[in-house]
Amino acid sequence: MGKNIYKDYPDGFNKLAEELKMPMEDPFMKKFMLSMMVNIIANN
Amino acid sequence: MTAHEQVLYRSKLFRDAIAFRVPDRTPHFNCAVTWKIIDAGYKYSEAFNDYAIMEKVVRRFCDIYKFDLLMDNGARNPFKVMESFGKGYYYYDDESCVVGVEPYQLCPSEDLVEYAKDPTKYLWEKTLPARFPDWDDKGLEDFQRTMDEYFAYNGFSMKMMNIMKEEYGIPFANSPQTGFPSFAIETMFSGIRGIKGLSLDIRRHPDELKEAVDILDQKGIYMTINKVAGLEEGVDTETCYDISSIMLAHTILSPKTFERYYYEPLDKLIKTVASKKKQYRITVEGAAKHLHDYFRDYPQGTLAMLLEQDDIFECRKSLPNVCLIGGMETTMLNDASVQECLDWSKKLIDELTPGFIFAENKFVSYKNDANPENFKAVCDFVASYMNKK
Repeated sequence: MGKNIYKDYPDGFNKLAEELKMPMEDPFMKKFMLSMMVNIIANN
Repeated sequence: MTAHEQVLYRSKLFRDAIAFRVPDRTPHFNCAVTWKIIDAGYKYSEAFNDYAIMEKVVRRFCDIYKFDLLMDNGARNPFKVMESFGKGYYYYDDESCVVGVEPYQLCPSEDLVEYAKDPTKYLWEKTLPARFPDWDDKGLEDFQRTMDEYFAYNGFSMKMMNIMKEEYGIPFANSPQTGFPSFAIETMFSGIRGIKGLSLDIRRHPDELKEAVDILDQKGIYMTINKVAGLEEGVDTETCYDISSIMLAHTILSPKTFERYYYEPLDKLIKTVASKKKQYRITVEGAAKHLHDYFRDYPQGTLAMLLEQDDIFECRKSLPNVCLIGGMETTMLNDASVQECLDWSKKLIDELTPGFIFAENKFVSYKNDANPENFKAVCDFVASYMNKK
């Protein structure tokens, strides 16, 4: 098993959003920012 | 004028032009993109990987070339975000001075509806694991590194927007209330399916494509339409446009398929913008002459179109209700004499005003897109040529 313990959606994704350090604390905003980042990675 | 007064003045130039009032002078929407980097003597690799260098590049451009709105403030390409995670589709080459993108698609045709129902879930569970061979080994530190780069990129973008507005008196392009929405068929074209995939889907999977487009538009463009409908009447006087979008997918659509996948939400958005007495800019890449019939009946003062390949004088006859943006061909900017460029600029302004915004006809990207001497002369001319009508 690899290091990526966040592969499930939504549980792994939400856990990652919670654990990532961001300038904001609001869980909804953190998930939104992770979604935005995922979109950038997917489309670039 | 203070920077704030310049913002208001420049915004009014655009607003007057779109409304077919004769502005003090014709506004210049400058479409310089990566050309700025080469003109400043830097390599792409230097500017894309160092925000301090990119800031210098943009500041130098603002100091030398006069304009009223700039297409790109240096934050167009998030290379650093992508490179912090893995290999990207976009690439650049310092030797040949090329920036490009490899063809890609986010999902196969059979997954279109699944993707549309929950794009983030699909990207997370299918697209990213298939694309990155080391996905299973990505740990918190990998995601954190990319998130840090993403915030740095956003911070740079905001910094540049504020520098433009507060130091150079250049307004924001779009009202923050409405911004830059995307139609589902455009995201299908640009990434979800890509040009080839979308072309095949239109022929082989039209119903699945329609279902996916409708699902995505309900979550995207119809939300924007509802937002616009809820706003007060009138334009945002500190920005050049209330709302903007890019049209590129139309280049592979016939009138029939344009109606099926694009027209309904586009028509609703334009009518809603018109009912709120706001103004909408569409960047029309490629040519759109075959679709002009769809744009002819909207009230004058609502729509502005940035033209890439369509002849601007023919468009004036074909679309007398639409403010036209463009006219300055990059081939001329590079190959013609200064005087020829100035004569052409004067002709554009004299013959197309009212209802005209001066701009380069494509993103000025590569070294051969503009001769610096010509570009500066044209910028100086447009900034000083007062309308006499």
